[in-house]
Amino acid sequence: MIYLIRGTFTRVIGEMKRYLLNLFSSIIIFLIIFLLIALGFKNFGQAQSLSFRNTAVGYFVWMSVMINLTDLSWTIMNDMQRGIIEQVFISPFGPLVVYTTYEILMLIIELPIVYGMMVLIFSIAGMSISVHPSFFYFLIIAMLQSLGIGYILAGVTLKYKRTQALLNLAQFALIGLLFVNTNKWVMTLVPIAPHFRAMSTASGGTLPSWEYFVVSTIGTVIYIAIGIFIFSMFAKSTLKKGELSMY
Amino acid sequence: MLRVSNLKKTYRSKGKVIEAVKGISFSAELGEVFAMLGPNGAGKSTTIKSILGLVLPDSGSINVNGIDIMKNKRKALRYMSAVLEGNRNVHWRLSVRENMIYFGGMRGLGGKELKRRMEEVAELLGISDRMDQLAGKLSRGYQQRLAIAIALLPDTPVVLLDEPTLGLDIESSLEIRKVIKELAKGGKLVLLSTHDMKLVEHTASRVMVINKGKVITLKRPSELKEMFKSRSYKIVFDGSVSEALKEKLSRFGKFIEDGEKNAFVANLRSADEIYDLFELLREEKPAISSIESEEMDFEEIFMKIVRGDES
Repeated sequence: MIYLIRGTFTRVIGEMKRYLLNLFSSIIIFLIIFLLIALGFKNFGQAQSLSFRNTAVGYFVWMSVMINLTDLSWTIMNDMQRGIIEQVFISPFGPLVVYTTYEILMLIIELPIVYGMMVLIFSIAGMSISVHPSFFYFLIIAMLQSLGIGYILAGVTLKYKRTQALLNLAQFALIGLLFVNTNKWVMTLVPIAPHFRAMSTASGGTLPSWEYFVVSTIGTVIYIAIGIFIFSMFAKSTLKKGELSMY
Repeated sequence: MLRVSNLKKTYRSKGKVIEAVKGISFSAELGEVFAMLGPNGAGKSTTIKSILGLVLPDSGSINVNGIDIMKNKRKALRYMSAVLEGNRNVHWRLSVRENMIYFGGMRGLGGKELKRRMEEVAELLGISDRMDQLAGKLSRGYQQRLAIAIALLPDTPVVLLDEPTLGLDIESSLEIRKVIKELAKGGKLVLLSTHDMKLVEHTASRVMVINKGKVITLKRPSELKEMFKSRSYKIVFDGSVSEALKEKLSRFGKFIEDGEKNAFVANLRSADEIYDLFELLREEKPAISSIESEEMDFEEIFMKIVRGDES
């Protein structure tokens, strides 16, 4: 397993080195969008209001989970185009372990970048950051939950191949989910929403209530389990139809 | 080492039913190059992919070193590696070295063992001086060498190569031919699927011809050549041949260009046909300058087998 991690790390770093311009462009686009949102609040709202803090945290959460949500599908699509997906499937570790290793490593590398961007966002907005340590717990499980949803999308990608439009749609549907306001326990089934609420509280330096810990954690476990089940189901169906590499 | 029994696979798509593999069976042992030949759509790729677990067959069994791939895929895959068709199998945006580390890691290789294997396979495939080049910038021939090098990293006893010389220049094809021979000499089972007859002729210890999802024949290349050699004759006539005789001979073969002489190549399917041909010649008594047994090249043999099956 350690060698799989080492090999995957080589791939992640290698790809980052060669797509550096793309990485920086993405960061700059995210920052520009946020600047425009901040400008809107300054001109038409109250920049120091609670709703602005929520928007800033929401934007940050959306940005961080969005990458994980669709990255697995993009990776699978690229691997299908390059023709290396068969090599992943004939690995004795199996595709789920190989791709999960890749995504977890991406998450570890992206986390400091994403956090750095949040600090930037908050300083642009002129807000103080006194983040409660629980913030990072919610951030990590939010990213893991999005990986669970990512498995579902990746399974659909394996089966239906060209899912670019669906992936774009999923990214924007996520914004809507952030602001779902319902009973805490119902929220277990609403992805990302309880995590976002908890992070909003924690970003102000306050410990979120224990219910949020329970709801977010259970929700994360549920979505990872569903994601793995659906990915495995679609992978099996793809192999049965002999359509693995037919991008 | 590898046993395939009664393998069947049918694809269903938009109301169409395609029987890709209709009960293929064979076994292959370590130290041999086992070649699969067949026209496009014969079922070669489906067979190879089924062996690797990349296609789930409808029925039949595949055993690698006694392990049933359908029941214990992960364990069975530890004995196999593969290079699949086309300019695939390598990550274009990674260097040769990074590709080896990534795919090696995916096979559970790392540390000193991986380093040693990387040096060995790079040397064998002649890519030692290109370790830091991007795979995407290598020529097609070198990309294929890299793909084979990656497949050889885990040192599995079974190596499956699907069209390993497709699109390669003569020099690269010859190099790959040499490597395949080395692998078999080193005790590996190389399962080859190809259209490259020269590759089969010079490397394969056994050839299985598949057409329309069925095995037509399974023999050593020398046996196949012998089989057809004894049934193909070139008859060179001394002087002209009457139109009537030409007409009668046409059922046995065809006249070919041979300088100024009338030459006829007879392809005889059975011993009865040999008797019939010589009976006809005895009756008509044309002047014959020579009769030679013709040796067909492998491509002609393959075409005959496939056409024979289709007719």
